[in-house]
Amino acid sequence: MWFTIDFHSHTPVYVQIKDSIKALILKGKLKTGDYIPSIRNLAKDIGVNINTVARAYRELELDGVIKSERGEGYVVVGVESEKIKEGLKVEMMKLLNKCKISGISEDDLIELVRKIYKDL
Amino acid sequence: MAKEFYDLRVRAITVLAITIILFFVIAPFQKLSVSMLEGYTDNPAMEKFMPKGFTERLKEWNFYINSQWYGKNFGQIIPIIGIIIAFPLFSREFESGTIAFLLVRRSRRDVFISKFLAGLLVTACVMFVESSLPPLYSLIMSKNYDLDLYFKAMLQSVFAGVLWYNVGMFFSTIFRDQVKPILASLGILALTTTVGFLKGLRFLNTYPYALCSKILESGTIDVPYTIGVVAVSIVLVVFSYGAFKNSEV
Amino acid sequence: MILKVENLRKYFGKKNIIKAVDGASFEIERGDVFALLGLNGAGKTTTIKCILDLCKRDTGEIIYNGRDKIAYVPEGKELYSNYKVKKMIEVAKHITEGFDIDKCLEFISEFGIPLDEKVSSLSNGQATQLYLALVLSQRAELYIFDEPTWGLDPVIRNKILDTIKSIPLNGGTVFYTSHILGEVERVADKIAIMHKGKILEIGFLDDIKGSYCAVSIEKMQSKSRSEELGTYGYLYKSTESEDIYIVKKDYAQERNLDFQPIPFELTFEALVLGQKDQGEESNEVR
Repeated sequence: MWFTIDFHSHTPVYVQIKDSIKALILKGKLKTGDYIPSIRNLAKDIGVNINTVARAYRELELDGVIKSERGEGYVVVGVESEKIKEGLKVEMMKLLNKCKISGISEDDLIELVRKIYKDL
Repeated sequence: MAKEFYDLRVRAITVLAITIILFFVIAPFQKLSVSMLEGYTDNPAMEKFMPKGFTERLKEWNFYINSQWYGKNFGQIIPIIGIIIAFPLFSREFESGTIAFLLVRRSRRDVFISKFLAGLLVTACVMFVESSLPPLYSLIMSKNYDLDLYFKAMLQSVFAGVLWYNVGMFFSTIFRDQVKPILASLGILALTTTVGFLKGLRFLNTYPYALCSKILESGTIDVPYTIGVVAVSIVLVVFSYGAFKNSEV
Repeated sequence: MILKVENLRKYFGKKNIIKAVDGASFEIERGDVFALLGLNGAGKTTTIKCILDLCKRDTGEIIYNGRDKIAYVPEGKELYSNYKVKKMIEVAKHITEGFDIDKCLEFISEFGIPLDEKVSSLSNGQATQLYLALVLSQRAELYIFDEPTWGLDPVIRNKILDTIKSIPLNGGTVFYTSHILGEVERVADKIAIMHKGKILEIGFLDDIKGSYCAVSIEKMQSKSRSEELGTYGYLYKSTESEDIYIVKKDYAQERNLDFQPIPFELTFEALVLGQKDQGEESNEVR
């Protein structure tokens, strides 16, 4: 498993790891029941500290995205992808509010939505 | 400690080479020296410098080689040899910064002991070899040589060399560059020698001891002075260890 | 916890006028890559020397919980310049406990360092890699590097950073000092920022980055709040109409101020330059 990490970004590294793994699940590249790499292996592959990866995994577990199984490793608990979708929806609402306040019209926004979904 | 011996090799070889050259400046030239001096004995001015019969005595091999080697060429450089072996022992590593490499791997005690002992052994060996040149040469050249005096001179030479080795080592532990220990040691050598001309402070001048004067005159080792040399050496080692133990890198 | 430094103080000079380390405390856990960040002269090297007992501290406790000797690469990477590389390795083997010579030779060939070359003829980069090879071949739990990449070209720098990063993967812990922020961001997970002998901030790098921000205050308002802002923030920039202060996110959120995230360099600048000299009131970013 590999994805880029921007060490100079405002986003903390462990958050970037969480987001990347969530994205892989949402894209379908990781399915429920799949095992993700061990903390050590992922740290090695993406060039990040073990502690940072461990923190990301801890929080993903608390969020219900993955689960640690004794002797086996970390497994994807897909059901909670619903939670991720909910989280994204909340973020979307915040952004939409900002657009509304800044004066962007409803029609303009619907155009944008259509554009994105047309590309999919 | 193997590293310390390796680091000492250049100085040890240099010192041995110079001393051997100094030996061969006098050893093969007995007849020549005697005839040169005989040419001077008629000169009244020279009579003041040389005790009566000195030139006659030189015709005897034992007296010649002992007085010219222990009593001159070798005796004069004994303190210098000790100082040369000792001066960069600690100061060079502080100056170059490599002392940190040693101190994070070994305790200060271990580092001190290995450097001190390596230098001590080398000094003693060098003194032993160099003081053994007369009997060795005599053996090869089939000359009769009295070993009794040799053993005594060898012992005193070793102690004298070790004393000045400890002086050099002491300054090596308190200075952080290589030049100051040499200057300080030579300074102390010059100071003790000159001050030792004053009555009452004669003991400060180590040259009579290094030049084996007593042995040459009366055939006996200067025991009290030897004890003093050992005592001063021990004190110097203790102070050196104290200085090194508390030094900051 | 593998290393704990508590209230370390080291002074120099008459009447202790130079406070090289002035009350520094931090803890390093096993597996950390802990970076001590600071400008030149902040006290980082002196801190390391006190930890390694290369110099004697004036006060404070240093607790090391490892069994093996600490592996150390000094800033100057000083080795015996007249030795050949293979002699240097030989000497390291004799003096260092638990030295794995095969491992060392592997590193040397990986780094491409010629065994028959004199140490003094090696380039900066090669000398650093040689020292690294020696140190990685000893049995150690904690590795201390003082400005490991200073003076090296970018390619070698990355190689060395990768090597340092791989140490925790093999069970070790890293403590290193640097004044290159961009590098520290890539390598460290915990940091402490040191300035004039004191530790200004300490914690997970991610957390520290996230806890500072920039707020923009209109000049009119800024005047009336200047005292408060002066105490709680660092004036980074002034435009025609506004003053930009760097403050803690908590402060901005409490006062409902609009804030922006800032790059790590700004946080560092705010912490370090926000410190006034001794005698004046401290202008720390609280």
